[in-house]
Amino acid sequence: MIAQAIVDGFLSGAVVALGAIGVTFSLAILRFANFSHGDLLSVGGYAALFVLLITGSTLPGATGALSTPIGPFSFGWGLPLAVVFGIAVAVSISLLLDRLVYRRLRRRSADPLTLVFASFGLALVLRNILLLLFGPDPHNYSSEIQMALRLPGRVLVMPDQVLVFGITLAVLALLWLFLQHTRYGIAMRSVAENPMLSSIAGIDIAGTVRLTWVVSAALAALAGVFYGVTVQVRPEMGLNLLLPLFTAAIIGGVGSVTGAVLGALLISLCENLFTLVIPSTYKPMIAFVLLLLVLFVRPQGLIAPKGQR
Amino acid sequence: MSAAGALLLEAESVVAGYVPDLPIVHGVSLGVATGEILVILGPNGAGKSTLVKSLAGVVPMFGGRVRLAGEEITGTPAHRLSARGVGFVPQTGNVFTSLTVDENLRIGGYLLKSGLRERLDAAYARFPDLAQRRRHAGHALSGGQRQMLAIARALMTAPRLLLLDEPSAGLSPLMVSEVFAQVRKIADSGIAVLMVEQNVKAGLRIADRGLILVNGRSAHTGAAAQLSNDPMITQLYLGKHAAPPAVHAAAGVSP
Amino acid sequence: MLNYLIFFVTVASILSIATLGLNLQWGVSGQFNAGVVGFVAVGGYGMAILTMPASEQLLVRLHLPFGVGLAASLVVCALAALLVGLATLRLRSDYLAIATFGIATSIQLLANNLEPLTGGSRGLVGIPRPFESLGPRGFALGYLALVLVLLGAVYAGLQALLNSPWGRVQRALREDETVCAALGKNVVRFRLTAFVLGAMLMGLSGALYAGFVGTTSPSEFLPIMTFQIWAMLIVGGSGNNSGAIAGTFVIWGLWTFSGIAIVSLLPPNLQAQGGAVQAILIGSILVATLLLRPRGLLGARHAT
Repeated sequence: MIAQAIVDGFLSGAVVALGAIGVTFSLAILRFANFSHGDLLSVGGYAALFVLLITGSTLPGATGALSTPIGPFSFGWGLPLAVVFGIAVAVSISLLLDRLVYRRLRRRSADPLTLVFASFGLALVLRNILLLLFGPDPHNYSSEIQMALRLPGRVLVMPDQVLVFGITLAVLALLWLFLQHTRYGIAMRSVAENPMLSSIAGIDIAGTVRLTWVVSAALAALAGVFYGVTVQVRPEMGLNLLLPLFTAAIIGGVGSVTGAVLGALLISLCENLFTLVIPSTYKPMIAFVLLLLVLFVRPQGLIAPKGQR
Repeated sequence: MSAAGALLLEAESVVAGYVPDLPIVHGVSLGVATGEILVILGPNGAGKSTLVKSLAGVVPMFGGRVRLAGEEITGTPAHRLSARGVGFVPQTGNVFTSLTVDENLRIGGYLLKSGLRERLDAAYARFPDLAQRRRHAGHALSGGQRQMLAIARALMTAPRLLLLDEPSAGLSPLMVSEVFAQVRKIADSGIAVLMVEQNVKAGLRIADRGLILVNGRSAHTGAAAQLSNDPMITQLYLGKHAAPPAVHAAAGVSP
Repeated sequence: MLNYLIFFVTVASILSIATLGLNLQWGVSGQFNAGVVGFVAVGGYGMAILTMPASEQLLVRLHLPFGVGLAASLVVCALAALLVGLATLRLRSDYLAIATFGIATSIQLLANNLEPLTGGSRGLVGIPRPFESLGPRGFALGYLALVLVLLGAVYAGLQALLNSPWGRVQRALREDETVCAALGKNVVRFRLTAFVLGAMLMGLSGALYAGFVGTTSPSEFLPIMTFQIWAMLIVGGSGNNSGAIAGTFVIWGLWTFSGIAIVSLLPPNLQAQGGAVQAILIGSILVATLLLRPRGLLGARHAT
């Protein structure tokens, strides 16, 4: 039982990790708690769903080049296309909201709470637009039934979950390379630590901000699709993930990508382990308890980047 | 006295502050020539830091004009100023503590399209202490080393004008002389240097000229040697207990 | 018609108390509470749990009188507020937002699931109400009178508080924290008291609501309530107590009117979508207010 819980923790932690990275970027670079980030996951997930709905891939017995399941997975080649579309939509909406709302507010007032408030309102709007367009019922990307894989220790995993986990690892590796070894990545890290110093070194903060939105939104969309693949697509999925996302970012230390990933893993593992002893309906509270613990004990995060405030 | 060239920086009637209704600098004019060090002195709250920050584009300038080598740079945002040849070393938050020495310098050279390697080598040659600590993170450096790194970072773009905000802050007297020696070397290599300093004695010792700022206005300017003898300086800073300042005629002492 | 008017005014007045509480937290003290509904729910549930007649299924069978239940639920609210306040008040301002969001989510979860305490998703039915013996009209008028008196008392109390030295410190704190800290004022303690007091007012609102409706369940305290109360505060002009009350009546009026329109004009299967439209409107009002007010929400930094 425990082995299964641990494996499940790792597998579902991947989704939370991708979303938490976007949150840690907005806390560090954009400098506010973005309450609409969770709904960006939903936007990505639903945009991908839209593609699959059009191609009929979600229906039982779906056939055709795009719908026939690939190998042991539940989805066909339509899904990678849907993912690309999902990312494109999420990134566009993110940039649009920055242009229409956040940028205007940044110009007018330095108060981060104004941005938080705006994101709070925008989250409500995004969420309900999705509700209007797709209805309140959950959707699945496909009606295919998968065969579970049997791992040692009587652990069962779905091929979809393993794939999602593998792709997440690859994405994280790419992100690491980007942040450590490319000019733009180093610019993001320096702006996260010290925007003033970055601008006098010649870094264009506005451009870095746009880049941050793009990277965060892309990761969020991916996380949303992954959640849709391994669980379901629901209008409240973003809202439900918001607390674990924030908690993961704070646990890991604001601005630390590694921290966000480890924080996500920690939360996921705790959620899966604790539901062995407490009813699973209380799962969402675990993130909150962990949040309070971190805030009381070590608010700068467990893996805080050194030398920061 | 080091050979000072033509005026590189000309600032006229600068009005600056954080909030438009509350300017801190009220119409200050100054000029810095290539190869010279202008030190800005003044009591706490006089606006020295605000002045240098406004020249660096970090604090808004509400009035006045600034020219660099004859070209208008008034209102240029901070991130474009470094491309125009202005380097700024802030007083606090002047190195990236979570990045290594090498990464700090690379960020200094962010805008370089080519020649990064040469500039890095030159920086390490100038500051051997930093060369030994290439992979050390910013937070692992001592105060003096951080200051050197901050200066080295600013020099990566080969600025024509270097702005420094209280480089001696928090440093031991030994480190202060080392830092100032570096600043003198930098000026001698043909860069115009504008330096805000709280340490009057040390500041006037390496500077060529000084400007005293009181309540956001320029109260007095002159050659550094003359200012050290000026009783007004003594009054402003050293209080009634000051011994008459020994005249070092130290301006121009080469390190 | 009159009945409906009494109902409307009673509920709007009850909600006004919550809006006044939010004004204390935001308009006066500059703190962002993203989980308003949580504190209202604590008040409502606290009241219900403590005053319900003893029964087999319930864990708590205290069956306290109305007034005592009211007071006790305020205490529980204060405790919840202290929990998140102490956790976050020394940290960045958006951490309080995250923590209040978290506590509201957790409270909703507990309300839905802790059956022996809260009655689970069915909730608690049959909360003893004052004035019950006076018959339906008597009850309606009596309760309305009670609520109006309390609202008046809260309003007067807040105005007095704001004009007191305590109030002046709060306003100064909002303008410039470092100055106040330098003056020796314990910034955290001032912020915390404003936050806790505001939360208690929200709890009072919830308790009064539970007493009015006679039942309490998770569906009485949905997440949208947080946004409704925020809209009530913002529309009225944040920082301003009378504006808060006015805003409450306006937004509540719009909400109930649009709700009636939805129920009468839309077929049942589309009514969830109607709710979504209401939510989109509220969210848009919030964002639009931010963008259109020249100084955004900071426009009324001067409370009262």
